[in-house]
Amino acid sequence: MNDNRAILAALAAVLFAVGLAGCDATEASGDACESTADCSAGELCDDADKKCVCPPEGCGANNGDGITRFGFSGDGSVSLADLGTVQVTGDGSDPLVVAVPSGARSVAVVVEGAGSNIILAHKITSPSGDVVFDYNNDVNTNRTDPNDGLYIVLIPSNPDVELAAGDWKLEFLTDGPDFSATVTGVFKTAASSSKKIDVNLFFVGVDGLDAAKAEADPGFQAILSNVSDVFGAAGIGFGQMSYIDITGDDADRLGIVDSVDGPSSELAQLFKLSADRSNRALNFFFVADIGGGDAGFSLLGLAGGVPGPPSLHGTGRSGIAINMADFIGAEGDALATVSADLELIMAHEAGHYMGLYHTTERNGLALDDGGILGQDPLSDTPLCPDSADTSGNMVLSADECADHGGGNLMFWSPKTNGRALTSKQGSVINASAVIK
Amino acid sequence: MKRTLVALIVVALATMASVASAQHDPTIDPGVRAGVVELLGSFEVEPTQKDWDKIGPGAADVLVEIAADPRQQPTMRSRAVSSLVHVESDQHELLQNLLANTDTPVIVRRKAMNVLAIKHPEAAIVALEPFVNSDQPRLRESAIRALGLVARPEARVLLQERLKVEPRKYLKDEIKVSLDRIDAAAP
Repeated sequence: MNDNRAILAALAAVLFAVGLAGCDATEASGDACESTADCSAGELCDDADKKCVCPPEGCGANNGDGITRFGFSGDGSVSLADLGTVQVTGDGSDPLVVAVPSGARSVAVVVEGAGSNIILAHKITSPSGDVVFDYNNDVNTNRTDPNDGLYIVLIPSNPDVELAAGDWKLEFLTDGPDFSATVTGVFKTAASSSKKIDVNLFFVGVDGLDAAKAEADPGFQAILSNVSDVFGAAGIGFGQMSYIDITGDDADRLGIVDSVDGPSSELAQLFKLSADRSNRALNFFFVADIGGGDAGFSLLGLAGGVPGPPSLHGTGRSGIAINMADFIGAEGDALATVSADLELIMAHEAGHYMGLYHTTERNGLALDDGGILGQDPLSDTPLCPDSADTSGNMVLSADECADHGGGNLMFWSPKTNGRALTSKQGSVINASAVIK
Repeated sequence: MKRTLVALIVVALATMASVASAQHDPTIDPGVRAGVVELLGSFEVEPTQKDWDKIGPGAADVLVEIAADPRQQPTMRSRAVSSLVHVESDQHELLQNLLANTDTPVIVRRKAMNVLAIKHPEAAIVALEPFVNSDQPRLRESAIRALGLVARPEARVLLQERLKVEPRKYLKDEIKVSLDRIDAAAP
């Protein structure tokens, strides 16, 4: 009897492990394509046949949910689990139970299916019954912000929230029609061993800068080194770098990102170009411009979310876009200035991707009804008070906040070139499943 | 030798004139200038109409100054150009000049197309026509998108003509999107 139990347990363990690693047996769609963007997540467009095929690593368990699954390698400190489906309505959803193993450092709950509608956690309850997020009652200890398309809840998004082992309950809300959400969990089951962030660097139609040049250019290497140093305050640095050129129509079409909102935006299409990656890494996409709205206001950088889906490639949120417009053609002193700006933008957006919010928002806590208000949930980050708005323009500038966190990496404006990280910001980053 | 010298002098004078024209206008309130620079200075947040209304009419002069200043970084200039949609000011000549000047960074020219289309649709038709057939796909794409913002029959004609000869699939798709947009805006 005991032997049978042992055999069943071993079989269950094997099946569980296979489940976590993702089933690579799914086949490519074979759909006609002009570029990889025309294919489903996990597939590549074969330039010769103009058909969607699986990359050498396999399509992953490309089950149509938009996520490229892959077997995690390395130190085994991260696992991926299918958490099933949950029906989401405008009134909420039944609780989704997420079983957190003992010793886990974080879980990123990835929710798909909202389309262009908004989805948000309704309530998050710990195994002991503590409510760490409640949309209706303004409980924001474990802050999470609404998203369209792919939605990611990070627990903890604040080290004051203990990720206790046991059954966590998550409920969700939508502003759109009822839908069945598919949920995946990315568990960081142990502390990082190497404390390295591997990085995929995609070069997408930036004049004068491609993968080969970036890899050989001392100036660009210095930028990467300095970005890595910013995270040194959290004991983390960049690890392996992969340099990837995006060419052809994809580069022409997405080298300038003209739309950033929604699951069919060019930004989402850009991030889906990560579908052929199978490493545990951050994806940076260097583009010639990122424009939002009809007038195309240029954004300096944009992360796929706060947090982005950690090491899940091929989704419309699987990356960080970096605007290289100022870098193109810059020389001498101008290049030095632009390079310093670029370091800051990359580090700031990577901070978002790994779960950090702005320490102070542009319109403070209450300067402007309808403006951008708020602060991060961390108790050790400096908040710039509304009273610092000495100009009275309802915007907390970097100068006005110089003594109140204007020098933090996650301040809303880059004007002070702030690169400081607090201890709790370091804890959030260290808990990210991106860190190896 | 003499011709070279004359050419150098002409270039130097043109550069000096350009820089001089881009000097800060002393009549602009420094507080207004600082406010505009703050709004244009975020990582990833576009200022709203309300933000510009708070600064008041003086914002337009600062935006024009930044947009025209070749010493400013391209993203700053392009942000200033885009933001002109939010202020009460007729800047179609500035926008047309930015568009026509091949020394202007491409992203600034692209924003000029958008703002022309949104704020000055009549002038936009004439200004955008050559760019719909540009040999630079990025300018062509921007002109196609901008024409989609101009809800006029002339824009539709230009796009339909380009659709017949456009070799790139993604630009053909952009033309169709713009045509749909014009149709949707039709009374």
